[in-house]
Amino acid sequence: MKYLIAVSLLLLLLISGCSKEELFSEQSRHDLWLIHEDAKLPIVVEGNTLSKVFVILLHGGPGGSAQEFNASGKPFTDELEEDYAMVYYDQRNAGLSIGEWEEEKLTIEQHVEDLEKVIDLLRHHYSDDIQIFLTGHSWGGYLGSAFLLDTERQLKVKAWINIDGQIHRNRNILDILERIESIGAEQISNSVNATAWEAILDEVDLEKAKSITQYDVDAENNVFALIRAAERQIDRDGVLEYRASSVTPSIYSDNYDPFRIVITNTGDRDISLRRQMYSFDAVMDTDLGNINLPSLSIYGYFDVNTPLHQGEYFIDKIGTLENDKALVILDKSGHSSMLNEPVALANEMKIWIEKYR
Amino acid sequence: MKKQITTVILIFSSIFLFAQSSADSADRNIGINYFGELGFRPGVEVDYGLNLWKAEKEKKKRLLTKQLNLRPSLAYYHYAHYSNNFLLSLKLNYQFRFENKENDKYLFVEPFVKIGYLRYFFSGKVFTTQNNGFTEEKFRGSNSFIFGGAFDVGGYISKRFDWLLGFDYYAESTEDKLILHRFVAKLGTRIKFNTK
Repeated sequence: MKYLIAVSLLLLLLISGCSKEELFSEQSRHDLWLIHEDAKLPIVVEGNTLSKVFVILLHGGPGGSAQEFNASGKPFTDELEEDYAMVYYDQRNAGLSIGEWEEEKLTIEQHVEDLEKVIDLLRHHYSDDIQIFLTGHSWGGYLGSAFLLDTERQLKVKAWINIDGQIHRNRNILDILERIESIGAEQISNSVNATAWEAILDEVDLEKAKSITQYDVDAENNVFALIRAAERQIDRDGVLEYRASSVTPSIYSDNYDPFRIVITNTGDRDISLRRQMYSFDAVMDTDLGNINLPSLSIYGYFDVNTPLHQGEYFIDKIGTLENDKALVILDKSGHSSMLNEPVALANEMKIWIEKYR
Repeated sequence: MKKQITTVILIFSSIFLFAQSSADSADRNIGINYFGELGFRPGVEVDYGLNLWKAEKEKKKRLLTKQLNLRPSLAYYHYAHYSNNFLLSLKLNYQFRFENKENDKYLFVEPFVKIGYLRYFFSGKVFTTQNNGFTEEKFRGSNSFIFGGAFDVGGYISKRFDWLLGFDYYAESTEDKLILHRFVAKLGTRIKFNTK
């Protein structure tokens, strides 16, 4: 019996071993959950909440995880957490979120609504006077842009930072072919693995010879294969640097769950979202002009997944005043600039945030 | 979900009824183990051994015992900044025990299969949306079912205690229809009810 009592006491200690939460401090760590429309979304707020500047970092995918930034991207996130409260939340049916699998709720509109609820919850939990900056990577760039199409929603955030965002699905596919071609030509002229690049460019020519002007979820698969080949070659060329942190400490002392994150990010669960993105292209074309918010776009020079042309398209289309929008290209980055040039990326973001806080 | 939870309760209730039957009480024991999901996510497991069948084969110096055991188990493990997890499971193991007749010391190996119910209680504050506002809730979480197998080895320490080292694998079927792979390392002891 005494063993049972000892085990029960140990259990109680483990369960009750949490301290009282301090909302505003220079080094905060808060774990929140938002339950909305059958989804249970984990939200981690980490960093300097005392600044009252909250930066929501939308993850990519669809199907990625914001917690991954906080696990493998510490050189990037630590820089920002010093000055701001970083907000990492995993979208429905992605990353570490839990909830019933309902394909009909996997829509762009539902994701936009979820994001709005996250923003509202931050104000509810912290204070009405916090300043919220929105930033998103890749699909997160798309989601953030879609969120801001509504002028009412724009009032909820101070400024927008789009990192390697895919803004227009069909244009992006066409941009990818152009970008692989121009990077390949550059590397050939510099005599960097010319033979390998020539083979990749032959494949690009074959794809372009199909003269497809409107892609879909089936046709885009060939382009994905080209992206993988080009990314592998860019890695071999040694033009990118990597400053990733080990995820092992995050598995045991933080919420990082590699099994859940890998499983949610594989398979075809996102196919309906990808299909919707094609039909949403027309909305982007017409409504991006509604965005009047200060907007910064940051792209990697060697990004063949969402090339810098997407940033040009975004900056060109939005209605923001010239002085309040900018496009920054990071010279030594591919699609994951937070791993390639973490400090440079964080610094660009800080300059933008400081300008508008 | 109510139906699934009711089924689990019924299965476990029937096992505890069985525990009051005339099964061989000499082989009953309680196990207390460190239960480390992925090795180092800390937890504790308490299980209870019930013998279903037993056969002995005696040789000159050794006694080989084969047993079929049921082990209802409750495990708790902590997943930092995410959840506190309770796993109620039922293990069916087949034990081979090799005993030295001269000193009564023994070693055993136990392959087993298990099924169970896993409940996550979320860490941190939980809010649900309600009428354009938010309500804070307690004890919210998530439900999963698990199935899998494992391999334990153990041996004699004293008339009261055995040691145990084990590795579990189970597949977790989540409410969002994912199958997640889980691995557990265990280290613990079994306390025998009968020391004779």
